[in-house]
Amino acid sequence: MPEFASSSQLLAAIVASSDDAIISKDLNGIITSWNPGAERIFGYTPEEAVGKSILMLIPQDRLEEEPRIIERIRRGERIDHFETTRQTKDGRPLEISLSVSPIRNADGTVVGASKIARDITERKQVERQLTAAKAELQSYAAELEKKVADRTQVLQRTIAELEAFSYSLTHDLRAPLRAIQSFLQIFLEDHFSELNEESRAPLQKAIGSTQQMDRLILDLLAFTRLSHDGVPIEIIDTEKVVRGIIQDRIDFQSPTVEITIQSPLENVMGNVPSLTQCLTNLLGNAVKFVAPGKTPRIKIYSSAIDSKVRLYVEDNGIGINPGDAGQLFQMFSRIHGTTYAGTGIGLAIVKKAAARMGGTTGVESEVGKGSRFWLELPKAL
Amino acid sequence: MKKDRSVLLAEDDENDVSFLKRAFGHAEITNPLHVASDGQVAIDYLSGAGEFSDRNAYPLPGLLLLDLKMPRKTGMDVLRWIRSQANLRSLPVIMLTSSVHPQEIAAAYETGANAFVTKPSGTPERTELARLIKGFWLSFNQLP
Repeated sequence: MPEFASSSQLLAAIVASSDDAIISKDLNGIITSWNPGAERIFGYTPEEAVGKSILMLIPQDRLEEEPRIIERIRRGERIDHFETTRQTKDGRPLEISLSVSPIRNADGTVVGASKIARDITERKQVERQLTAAKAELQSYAAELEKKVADRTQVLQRTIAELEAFSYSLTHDLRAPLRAIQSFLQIFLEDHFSELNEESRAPLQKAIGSTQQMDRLILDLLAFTRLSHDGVPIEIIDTEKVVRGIIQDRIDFQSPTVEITIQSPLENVMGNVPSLTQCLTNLLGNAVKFVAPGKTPRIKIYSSAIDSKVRLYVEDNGIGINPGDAGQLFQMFSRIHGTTYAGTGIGLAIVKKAAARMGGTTGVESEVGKGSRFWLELPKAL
Repeated sequence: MKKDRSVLLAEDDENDVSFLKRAFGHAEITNPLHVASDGQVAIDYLSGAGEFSDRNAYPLPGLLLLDLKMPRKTGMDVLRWIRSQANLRSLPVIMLTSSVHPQEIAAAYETGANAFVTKPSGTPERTELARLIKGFWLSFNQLP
């Protein structure tokens, strides 16, 4: 560290090495000192600056700032980080941050001012770029929002059209189907005694096909209806829903079926119609896919894992080849072919309805050993 | 059975009309059955407009079977109109439809339908429906 003879020499060295312009002036605005920083920023040498008016640094349109600054200095006030414009020796405008403080003599009278000026042209430029970037970003965001709104509107229109489509699907497709089925049945009723078994069979098969197509249309409708909007989620008394389903369906009751509920079932967060749909389809499958002559035995139970609940529907049915389990939940997937009636939409509905409640579904099974389907939903809070 | 109660069927599908007539026959319903071929005809019939002013030939029904989707005036249009008429406000109306839209069912009941039935696809089911209509709406049910 270099030695300094006095503290004023130390101060002079600090002033001399400063990056900022440090200037002093008297109360008439005459420059009394000028450091190398001032020379570098404004371009005047100390010889050119000292003894001149500070006004030479102020652009024409800002000349009125000086008397106001002097006025405040006279009152002993400081001016901190005042951002303004000054000009260099060659007339180039400079954006600066200015701090001005009064200089007092030994008896405390204000005799002049010291000013520290920092060139902030670069910072100002960055600020302007930032502001421009922000504005641009905002306009992009607004544009994007408009695009989203437009597309949402298009989407909503499409959904409305789809709804109208599914409506006419059920109405207009089912009407002729109903007619075909009914006319076939009427023919069979009216000419039953004239027909032998051989000629009745194809008619009965045709009727069966129309019934199958009717089920297909109804299932498709149920599936498309699931595609729209979310559903309200609430706390569900699972056991009440399960018992309600069983009570409503004679084919879910003894002696046709033996269903055991392992009470109590964990309550879940979900939507009653969606859960009813899921469980009805799972129970329907459990009842349907059994070996001929075997009484379906179904066990319903639940287990809580962290914040989730799994509802299990376990059957003694024909089971599923684990390799087929993956495609089981896909639309129109019918791994048992024509042996068992169905449309191949039931489990696709379960999957979609479960997803709408924020849940998942799956199966564990082995051929000949029954299946265990599960439905995982958020646990009731 | 209250034999004097006639039934008006508002239905544009001729097949459905003949199927229901057949089901009524199988269910041995002897009440007169009149048919309006669309919603506007149903309103004309019920208001006694034109030829329908002859109440001997076209009596006011004791039961209306009203198809939901019909040209000119829909089943819902007819239902709304009926419930705004002083003399028809209490006429029992059974809505018939091929669709199973929950909103439609709710809307029909809110507008004043007395029952909502999805049209059966097969003749045995249709005959069963006719029997139930006969037993309840044309026998046990009391009208004001």
